[in-house]
Amino acid sequence: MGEHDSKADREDVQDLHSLGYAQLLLRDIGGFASFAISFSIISFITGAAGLYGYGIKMSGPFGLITGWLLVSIFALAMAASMAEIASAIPTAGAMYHWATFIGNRGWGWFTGWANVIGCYAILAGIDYSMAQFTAPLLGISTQAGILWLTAALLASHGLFCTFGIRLCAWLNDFSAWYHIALVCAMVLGVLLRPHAPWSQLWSMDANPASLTLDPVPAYNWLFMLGLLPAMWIFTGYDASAHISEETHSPRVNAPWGIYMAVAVSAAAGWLMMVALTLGISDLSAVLNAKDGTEAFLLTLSQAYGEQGGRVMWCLIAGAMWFCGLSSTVCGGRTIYAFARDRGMPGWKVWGSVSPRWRTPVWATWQVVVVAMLLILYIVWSKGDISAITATAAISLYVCYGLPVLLRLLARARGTWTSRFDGPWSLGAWSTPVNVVAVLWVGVICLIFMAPPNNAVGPLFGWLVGGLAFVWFALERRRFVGPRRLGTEEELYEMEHAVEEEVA
Amino acid sequence: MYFLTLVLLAVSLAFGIFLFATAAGNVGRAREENRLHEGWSLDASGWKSDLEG
Repeated sequence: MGEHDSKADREDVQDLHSLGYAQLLLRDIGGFASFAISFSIISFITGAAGLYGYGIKMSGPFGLITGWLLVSIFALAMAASMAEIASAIPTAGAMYHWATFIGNRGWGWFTGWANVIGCYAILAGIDYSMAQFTAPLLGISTQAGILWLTAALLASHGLFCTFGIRLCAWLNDFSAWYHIALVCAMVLGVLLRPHAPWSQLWSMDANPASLTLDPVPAYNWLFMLGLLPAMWIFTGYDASAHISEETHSPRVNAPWGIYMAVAVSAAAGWLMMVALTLGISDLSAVLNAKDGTEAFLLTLSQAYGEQGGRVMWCLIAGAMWFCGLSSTVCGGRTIYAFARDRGMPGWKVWGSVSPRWRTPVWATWQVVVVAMLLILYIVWSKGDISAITATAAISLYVCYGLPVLLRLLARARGTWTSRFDGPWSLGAWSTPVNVVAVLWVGVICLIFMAPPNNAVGPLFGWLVGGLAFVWFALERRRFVGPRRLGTEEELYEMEHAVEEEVA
Repeated sequence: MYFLTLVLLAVSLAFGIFLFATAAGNVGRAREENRLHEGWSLDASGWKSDLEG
């Protein structure tokens, strides 16, 4: 057992066997890498590039700065609730497995598909946004050029994810430091120079009418709509759970990865929002910008000067690339784990692991190709990509909330007891924190579907209805759910076979 | 408004630290009791798909 030499490694493998799976992926990453992948997907810098302008136009500096803190509190509750389950059930399937084992295979199947669809749309949203954001820097001005750039970005992510978890883990680690260094530069770049008075942080000046909001509602509701950027940004931290089978001591490192990614993002993201807002010298010009992206670029140029703003523009594009890479890693594992249990057509291909790279190569390229097809369809049909990505965000939040809700119900019924809890647990505080997290998912769904995002509600309704139809019409009689891949001896034989192929 | 922001800042910090400390305490106890690899498992739960024979 070349790969399982140390006692800790052997314990990790036995732990995975107790969940029914063989150690086919390479278990090679530690606690920091587990944190780094979720931190890179949350990527508050990427989120700011796309959504800072929307937030400040919708609810002004006050809504953006104070709203971030409000969302952070609930995001921490959600992350802690998910971390508890990741510690109890550390498998690559993550929420799909959690919903199956705690609820039933029907909930698991629904969660699995909602998660997979969320992965496609999130990756499409990230890479298309990056292409739009960087196109002016590269002198690209046509729609075709942006599409080619998107394809190139997706291909680069697919290639890096193909060549092993070691390379991706190294890049994710680098990405975490890159984000921290960039935030430090953004904060110091504003605070060490003359900037707007601190009172600007509490300004309620906004321009929601420019966001096709007609009629403009009272400020209280604008404040709620202004929470959307933060809600959108705090997604993707399930990645630490999806790479559990590649993480040392996953019952400890995966939950810490989830929780710390959200906690550090909450703190660093808030500092970044404060710095950017203090850097605005002409607030009315930002509020009257043509769209959210222009408002953000104007903010950069006002905060750091023309040259400095351009440098920040380039550096932020780098952060977006890392965000896309981490999303591709996560999407590949999500599809691999679901296909491994025969959850999707062509499961033999999508559920396989490359013997050479020890990565789910086909699943990785599936997420890349489907994301590109989704973008092409939206552009061709002149659809609204923000409606698609908002629907994906709701899907992800439902995936997060459903296992937490099922665990609350199982605990009430007595079918989940404390002996199933992993080492990362909130003990007596678990139930109240879990209740807050589930309620938060409900609030998020309502706000995401509220005007001006009128298309999101029906789209999400179609998604849920479509999945329910397929389940009851077809899959209920076919999909078995997670299954033990073999006896203890058979699992070791499967691992030997992979290691021999590698050798 | 200024006050509300400060209150939320204090609450988010306190809540984040509280959750961190609670979890860290339980992980520490599990380490002392050598329970770092314990949790849900197929055998302990007896879970089986209702379609599986």
